[in-house]
Amino acid sequence: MNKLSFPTRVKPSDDVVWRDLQGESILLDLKSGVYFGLDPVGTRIWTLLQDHTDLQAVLEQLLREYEVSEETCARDLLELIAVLQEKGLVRMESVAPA
Amino acid sequence: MLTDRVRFHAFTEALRRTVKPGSVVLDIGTGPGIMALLACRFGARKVYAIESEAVIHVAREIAASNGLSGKIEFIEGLSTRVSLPERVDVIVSDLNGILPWYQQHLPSIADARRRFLAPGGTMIPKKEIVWLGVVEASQAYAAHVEPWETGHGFDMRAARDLATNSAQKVHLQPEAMLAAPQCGMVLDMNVVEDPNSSADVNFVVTRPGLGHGVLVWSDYVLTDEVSFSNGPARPKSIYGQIFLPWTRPVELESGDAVNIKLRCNLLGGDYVFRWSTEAVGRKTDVTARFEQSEFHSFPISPPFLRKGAETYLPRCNGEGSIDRFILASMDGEAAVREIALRLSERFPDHFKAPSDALDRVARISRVYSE
Repeated sequence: MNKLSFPTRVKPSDDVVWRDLQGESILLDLKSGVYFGLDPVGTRIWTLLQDHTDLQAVLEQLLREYEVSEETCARDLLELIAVLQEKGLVRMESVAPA
Repeated sequence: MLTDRVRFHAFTEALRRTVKPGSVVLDIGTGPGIMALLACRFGARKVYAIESEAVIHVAREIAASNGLSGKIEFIEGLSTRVSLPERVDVIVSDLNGILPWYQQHLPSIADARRRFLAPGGTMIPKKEIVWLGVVEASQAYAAHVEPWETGHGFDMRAARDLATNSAQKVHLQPEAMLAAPQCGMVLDMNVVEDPNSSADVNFVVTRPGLGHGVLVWSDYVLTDEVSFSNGPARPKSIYGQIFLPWTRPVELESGDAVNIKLRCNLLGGDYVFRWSTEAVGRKTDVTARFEQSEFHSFPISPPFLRKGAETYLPRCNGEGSIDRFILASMDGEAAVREIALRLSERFPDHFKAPSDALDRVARISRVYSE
């Protein structure tokens, strides 16, 4: 498996609360008051981010759970992370190169 | 406030000690005007009394009945939207709920201090000290949670989750404490700016028992000499304390460590409380870990929330079309009755009786008219 070339860790923002609503989820940014909805796959990614800051670990878990190519999964994961970051729902932490 | 003797006497004493002959006083959220009246009694030259609710009209009558209409200027509106012709020597307010994090209390205090307080002026209250306690509260816990525990043979966990994420008003006694209370934070009204707060507090259990959650209360320091509290060791007040239940009760032994993180965020018009708990036994094993929030205390309708999403394309429904028609008709040229007539003609199926249309227009007019 190729490693994601994304030298950061991803952490949900401390100001976000969320609820799982039968597969979908609602995120609320307590700083901005903005609600954000996630579909079932987005909800699964968000759930994994609660315990895994390493995107590579998240990708590997998703590949175990979904029938999807690694390329497609990685692309969709990074797209969602970019949106979440733009909305201020996650923050990125740089990882020092090995 | 008038029905809470402890609170009333404390504010009276604070004003007596602070207001001097010739003082100019601002009373934010005057209600029926009692603190404005007291300020006059203690020698205030002028009192500005601000109130956004209709009770201000009662306050005006009371002031007139007491011959104080000349000294008290009543201003109807939100304090953050008014201007005063002069700076004041004293700002007094009682905008709290059970805790200082209540609606627009803190933003109003910060705004008033910045815009209205004269150099060297005094804020009443001066500060609020918030305390936290780990408590055994079986009655309070059962009252809210038990109906969803038994379930009458059904799985009611979805409702139980709402109950254990709801803050409750309680009146507990000191005997409920399982550890020494800890100070969560001090809010100094002379400097407070941020309406949001957080506390990170550690407890060591001193009395073994079944822990049910966190108790939160305030000491109100009105002046250096005058204070009162809604804490469990004090005379019962109308406010009581706030109880934040745990997801489940936790057996606690003497020497166990409990860490509580409390975060209070102002969202729109009110606060969302979040509380995180970690209980660690003496053998350093984690016996409980909870992440709770009032965001989980109410039913959510996903379709309802979707309509507020940034990318949603809203279109007026039937009710919206009616209100839009009324608002478009409010041009200062047509009377309420005339708008109601047009409304009935435009939406005949919705307004069977003329009075229904009149009621609807009157309601919209009261909210949106100049």
